[in-house]
Amino acid sequence: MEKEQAMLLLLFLMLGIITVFIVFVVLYMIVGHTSRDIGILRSIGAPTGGVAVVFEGFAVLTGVFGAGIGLAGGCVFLWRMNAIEQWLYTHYGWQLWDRSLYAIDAIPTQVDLWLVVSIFAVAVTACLVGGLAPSVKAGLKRPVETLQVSQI
Amino acid sequence: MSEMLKASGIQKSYRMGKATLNVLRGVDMSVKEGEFLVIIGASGSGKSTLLHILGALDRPTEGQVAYEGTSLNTLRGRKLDRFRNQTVGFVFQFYHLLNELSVLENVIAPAMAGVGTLGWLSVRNRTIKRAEQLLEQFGLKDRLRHKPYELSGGERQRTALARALINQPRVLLADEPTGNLDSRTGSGILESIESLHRAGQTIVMVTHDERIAARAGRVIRLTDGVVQNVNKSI
Repeated sequence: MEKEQAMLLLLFLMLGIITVFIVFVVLYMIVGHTSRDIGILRSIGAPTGGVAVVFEGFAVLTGVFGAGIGLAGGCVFLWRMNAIEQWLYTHYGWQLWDRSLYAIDAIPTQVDLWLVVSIFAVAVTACLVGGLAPSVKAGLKRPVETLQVSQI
Repeated sequence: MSEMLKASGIQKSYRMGKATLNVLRGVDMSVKEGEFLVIIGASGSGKSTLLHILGALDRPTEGQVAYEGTSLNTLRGRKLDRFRNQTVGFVFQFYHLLNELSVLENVIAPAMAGVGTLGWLSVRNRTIKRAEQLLEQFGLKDRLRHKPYELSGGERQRTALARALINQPRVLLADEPTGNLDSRTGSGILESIESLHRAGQTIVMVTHDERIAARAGRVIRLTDGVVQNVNKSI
């Protein structure tokens, strides 16, 4: 059981790293595509921090919504897991949980609130970290460069 | 008239691979309070670059611009942002409006940017009222909720003009504001700018059009990055 938990932890760690990378790439592309708008905002006096917060806020919101939807989906799945397994067995004869191997007649499900909160916090933090560099880059853009490029 | 902006020995060069392109080569000029100054020059003469430097959108390679005695080179961070937000208002040739925002939202954007989210709550009603008045003044009363892509070129430029004026800037900097418009629409924009000048607004405008320059109080002719001459009018 400990090995399985360690395996799961490793899996979550890898997922976290991938999340950071995906958020970084997506936000980097968004900053590139909205260069003209960033230039306009900077030219009317929007502060570096203000522009960076817009993008960082977007990354965090993505994390909050993504983690929220994922957790809700996960909880619903856990709640109905045995029913889903039963449905698969009834319709396709496919049993995920081999009753002959384990001495219990249902897949055990237990929601650990602390773990749920931790996963949510890690997901949001991953988005925050992934969005940090592109957000700072957006805030530091020089208005004249982005505006000149956008009119070519 | 007191000197508001003073540019001394402005040089601006860009690295183009191994070569260096000298756009401005030692420009000295000043902008007096309440005047309508036109910077005229052929394409590539450096007039837009000079305007960007005057408005702190860009920094010179050498030299300095002083606003009421304070060098813009020394402004950093919030002070620089505040200068762009409060002291100057920019009108660009290509309007540079935010397409996702309505006309009204575009106009109030500089006011929002200047005060932050919390400050915005206290000035919201006053700013919206002023934006509506400006848009009414420029004949855009019925366009408040429209998006910029639903407007004609002239309407877009008038929106940009209203946006530039929302924070009641000391200097209005206009970079070929009629360059992308037909002559009739451009003439309307010029009349709006002239009426602002008559009301006391300091205006610096860049153009390559001699007829437009003739309407200014003072004209600076820029040739290959140097001031060739300064006239009262052409």
